[in-house]
Amino acid sequence: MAIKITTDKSKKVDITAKRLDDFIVNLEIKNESGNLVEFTRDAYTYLNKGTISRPNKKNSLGNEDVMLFTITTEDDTPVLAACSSDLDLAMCVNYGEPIDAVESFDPTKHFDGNDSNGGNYDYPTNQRDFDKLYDEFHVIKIKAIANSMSKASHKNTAEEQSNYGIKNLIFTKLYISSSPEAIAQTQATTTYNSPFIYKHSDYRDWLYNIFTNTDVVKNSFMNSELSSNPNFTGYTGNRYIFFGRVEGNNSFQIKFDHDKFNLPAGNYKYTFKSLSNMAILAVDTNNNVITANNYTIKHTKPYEESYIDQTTWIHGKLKINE
Amino acid sequence: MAKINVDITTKVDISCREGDSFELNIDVTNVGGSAFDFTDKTVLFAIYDARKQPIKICSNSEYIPKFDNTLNTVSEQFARGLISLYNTSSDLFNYKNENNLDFIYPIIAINLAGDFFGYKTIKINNNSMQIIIPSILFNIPFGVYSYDVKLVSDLEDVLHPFNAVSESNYKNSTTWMEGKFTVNKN
Repeated sequence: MAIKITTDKSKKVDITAKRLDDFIVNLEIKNESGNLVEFTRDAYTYLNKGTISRPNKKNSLGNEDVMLFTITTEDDTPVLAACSSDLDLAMCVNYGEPIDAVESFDPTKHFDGNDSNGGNYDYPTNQRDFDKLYDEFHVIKIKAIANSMSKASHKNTAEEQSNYGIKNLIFTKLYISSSPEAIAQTQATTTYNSPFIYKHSDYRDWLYNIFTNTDVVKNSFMNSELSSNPNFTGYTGNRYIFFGRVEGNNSFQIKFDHDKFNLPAGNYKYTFKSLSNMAILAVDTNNNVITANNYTIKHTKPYEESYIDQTTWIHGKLKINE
Repeated sequence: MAKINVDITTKVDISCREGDSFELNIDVTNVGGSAFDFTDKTVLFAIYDARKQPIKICSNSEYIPKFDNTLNTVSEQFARGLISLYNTSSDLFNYKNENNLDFIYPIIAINLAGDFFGYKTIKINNNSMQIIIPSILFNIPFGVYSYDVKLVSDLEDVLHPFNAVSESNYKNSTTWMEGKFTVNKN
């Protein structure tokens, strides 16, 4: 009789929750010896109204273990997610800063909760501005996470996969900060960096798709002002599937505020994973490959940003009661 | 009636999780417990589909063709050796499409001293070997497969008429492990 061994680390834990209540779950991950597994986390306090604190370094690319809690329907469609990394909120890091000043970014300057200087992300007008200010690191990281999600989605057709960022999307040239695609927008003598997505509909669609779980929001966005008005002012709140957050470092706390935990009552599934060793591939203006963080995806085409390693630690059923 | 068994294959069924990184540590010693000498030997870990065709091959070899279009005669020989060993088609390796920028290696071919993702897929230590496949390469859908672990050595070209090299074979091949390979649904 054959010996049986498994490399599957995932433990099955079923969760029951109540719809439109705060969803708070504490999870602890131990190895076979009973010791806590160590993760590399970037110290980070989520942007909250009135309490603003975040590290200078907005995106710890490469070495950061990104913790991802994903709720899917029974047919594996992600419908709600929580991430330990500052995905959409990271977008504000360039706000008001010239391109060459990113490294000296003062975290207190623009995250002080003050509507007038963009410090309050909950304020719709500021969301509008934040969302235009992606830089290459935001795009790389968001796409890498989207790619990881897409691989786990069990979706096969291009249409199904398009929501998760892998349909005909070659971002590489957009990562070059000195690219002619970078447009200068003068406001109080500040040059804004890289509103590529804002300028190119394909990329813009992609980005909004991966964070959108309601067609209504997307369609109203697309049909209203975006294509014609570069200063689009539409309301952008409550559209991401990344409504929740993962806090802490083993133990972890997964949180969805009650107003975001608005899935219909029923049966779902969830996974809690770590994504490690992000690979980045970019090309310079001569199409020479440049790399960062010593990781490079070398298969020739298509270029891709993703996490090299993934481990599922906990999975199970999620029952949401009315 | 006396029986002699030269089949040293150990039956081990392995399960893993779809989409996750795969890591398996295997201790390897001689019968007396001394360290096994891996010098000039190649370890191959192959996963097969239901038709017994390899869909993933990992190795500690330094000569697996790279993904960056650079092929040399040694890596071509290595690919020919795998084709002979696994009785499969060169199409699976695509190693001849050197100038085709769109080429890929459907069977991964994991290399190599730090050149691909910084990983060796099979790392050899004194008494053990580690099979490490990062999730980005471990794209096997959930289901039941089979696998084996082979130790091979002495790869030689086979010369055909007019001294043309058309195949390469390993003179020595031993199967160490085999069994079911179950990929759990994520």
